[in-house]
Amino acid sequence: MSINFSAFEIGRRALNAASYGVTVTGQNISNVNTPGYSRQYVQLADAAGTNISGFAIGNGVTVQGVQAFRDRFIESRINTETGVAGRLSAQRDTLSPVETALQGTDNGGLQNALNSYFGAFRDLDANPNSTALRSIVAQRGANLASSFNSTRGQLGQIQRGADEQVRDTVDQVNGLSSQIAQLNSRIKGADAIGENDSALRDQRGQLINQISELTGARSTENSDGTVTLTIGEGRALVSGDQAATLRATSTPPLGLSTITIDDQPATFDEGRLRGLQNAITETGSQIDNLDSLAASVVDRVNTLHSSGTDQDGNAGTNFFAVPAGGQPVTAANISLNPAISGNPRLVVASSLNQPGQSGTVAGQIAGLLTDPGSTVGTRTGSFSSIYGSFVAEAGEQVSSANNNLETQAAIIAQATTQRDAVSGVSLDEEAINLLQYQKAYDAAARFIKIADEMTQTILSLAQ
Amino acid sequence: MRVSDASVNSDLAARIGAQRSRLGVLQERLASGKRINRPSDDPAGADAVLRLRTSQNEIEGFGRSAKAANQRLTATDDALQSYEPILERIRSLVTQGLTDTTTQDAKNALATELDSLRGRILNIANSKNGEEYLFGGTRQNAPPFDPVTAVPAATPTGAQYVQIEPGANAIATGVTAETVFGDSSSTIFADLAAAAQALRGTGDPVADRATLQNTNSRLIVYTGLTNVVHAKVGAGLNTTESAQDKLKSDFLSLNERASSIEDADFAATALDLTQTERSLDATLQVAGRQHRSLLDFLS
Repeated sequence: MSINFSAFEIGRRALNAASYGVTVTGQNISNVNTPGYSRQYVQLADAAGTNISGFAIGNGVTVQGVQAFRDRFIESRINTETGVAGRLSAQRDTLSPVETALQGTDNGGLQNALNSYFGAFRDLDANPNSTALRSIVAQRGANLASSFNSTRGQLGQIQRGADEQVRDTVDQVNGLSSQIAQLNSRIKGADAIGENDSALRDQRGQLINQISELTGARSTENSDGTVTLTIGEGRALVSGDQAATLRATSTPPLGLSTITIDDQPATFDEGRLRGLQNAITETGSQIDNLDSLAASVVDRVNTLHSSGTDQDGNAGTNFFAVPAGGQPVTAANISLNPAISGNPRLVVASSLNQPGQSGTVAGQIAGLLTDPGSTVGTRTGSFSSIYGSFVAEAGEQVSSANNNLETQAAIIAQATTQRDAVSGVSLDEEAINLLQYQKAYDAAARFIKIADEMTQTILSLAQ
Repeated sequence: MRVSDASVNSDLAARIGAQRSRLGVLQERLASGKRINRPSDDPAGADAVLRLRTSQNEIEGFGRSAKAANQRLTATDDALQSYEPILERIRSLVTQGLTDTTTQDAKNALATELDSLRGRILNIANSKNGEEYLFGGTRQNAPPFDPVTAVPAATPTGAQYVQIEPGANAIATGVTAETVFGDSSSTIFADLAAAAQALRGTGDPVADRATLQNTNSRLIVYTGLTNVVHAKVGAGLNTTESAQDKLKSDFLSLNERASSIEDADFAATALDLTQTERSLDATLQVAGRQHRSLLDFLS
């Protein structure tokens, strides 16, 4: 038998493998709280044997590489669900001020203004000769107009605020997509030379999750390790090392933004951008609702008001100002006829063509609030019930977004738990791994020591 | 299933967050006493409450109208009540004037009293309720009768009507002077002026007697008119009073309905709050306990 130094090589490889193991375990432990980190493991394989005197004897262990535990399908599911949550939370956050604006407070807000305005006409009906009540009617009318103005103003502000967010989000998306494109190209390069790209993939996974929340983008992994991200209608946001550019351009008449991707119209199925767009549309339709309500109130009140006579027996004028040039009345331009605010005696209560009063017209105007024959946009009903339906609609939007968001949070939590079950770090496991590799290291060291002693023994024979 | 440290932590955090937000909701309900604090808490309920509140507002408005109508009718009733004894007194004066034994001096005295009573009726007919002529109806730019000549105002008038219940017809809130103090042929003032003149004597005793007899029959007509009008006012008072009662009870029942929709069940909410607090405490305790791993046992 010859002196066999292969034992040292086996020992060296075993030490090497164990210390790799300890290092990777350390890496896992140190990233126990890193978001998006996928735990890694050392891929070990026994080295192919050498044929010695007809026996194949192994050459110890080889480290084949370091791999991460990853489940692409769960990750892409998390991304999809995050996109849905992004849409819902943007809708909820934008629309909840809408419902607050429409709801008003106990003593303020449009609903109260409507009630007290028509209530003042009810009082005038009972006391048609009162100038004091006419002043109150005029004041309440001005208050109703300014409530319309301010509520619409609030909705407009909410809409513009959401539009600002769209622009900010577009900038964020552009930043993220170019980072992802860069990572794509680095991962492709690393893959080609078999480098450990786990950290890059973790980083890219995080970014994809973020961009999914913003745009609802879908990701598909290609065989070269790159990821393709697509938004609505299959337009590519990131493809290989190329990132498309989103652009938000102001569009007339309101100056709200339209989003283009590489100068083509961009649509989003999910994600915050979609949520913001939905919220902007919904707020816009509430603004239209208010406009139609204001127009209908003005139309019906003016028709009745100009059918009667004022306190001095003269023919009635319009109660609310009618914009010049045939412009439609909106919640933004509704205002009291300046002549009436200057002279409350012009408020009409009577239908009689003489000085002295019956309250007929005032009573009819007071009855408009609950008269079911009003038409506002496509709705028919009383002003009060139609306004109630606006409030209920806004409430329903927020409430359904809230409920869906809760469900969505549960789905994401469940998917994340699933992902963590594959990729998450368990300190207990790592502790066991640590022990295992430590023992392996100890054993390998002892093995080398014994091999050394054996060599010493042989060498001492030669002395 | 593998349980990783991160998922244990994020799960705990999510649970604590959920319980805290539940606590927030319950505290808001207890503080406001309401189950619906914004429309999204219950959109259909919020809509229903809004409608009920509008109806309440409307009923309050009608309540104010009914009160005003009632007040005006009461004033009319009072005026008629002071008018009726005067009519009685005038009838007895005219009867005395028709008696043959009454001396001319006595007749002159009767005429003087008649003039003063006529003045009182004119005051009643032109009396004001606040800013308005009580018997003016829809004509308010002039007194019903000229305060000096007692000539009826030229502008035609009609009764004032006001609606005091939702969906109901408007009711008259008073009567016009034309229907109380006169009819198509004459007014009480013209008749009384003629009677006073006849009492004082125009030099034609036969004609004077005929005038007084005519006055007597006219007085019966005016008494009849007053009775009819007084009955109408009484009926109007009944209507306004019962309407006020009905509006009040409607208001309360609307209040009850709104409250059953929007108010929080205090006991249930308080219980829920205690339970949520307890489970939050438990979760916090679990979270606060040192999560031990195998590493703790390796020395």
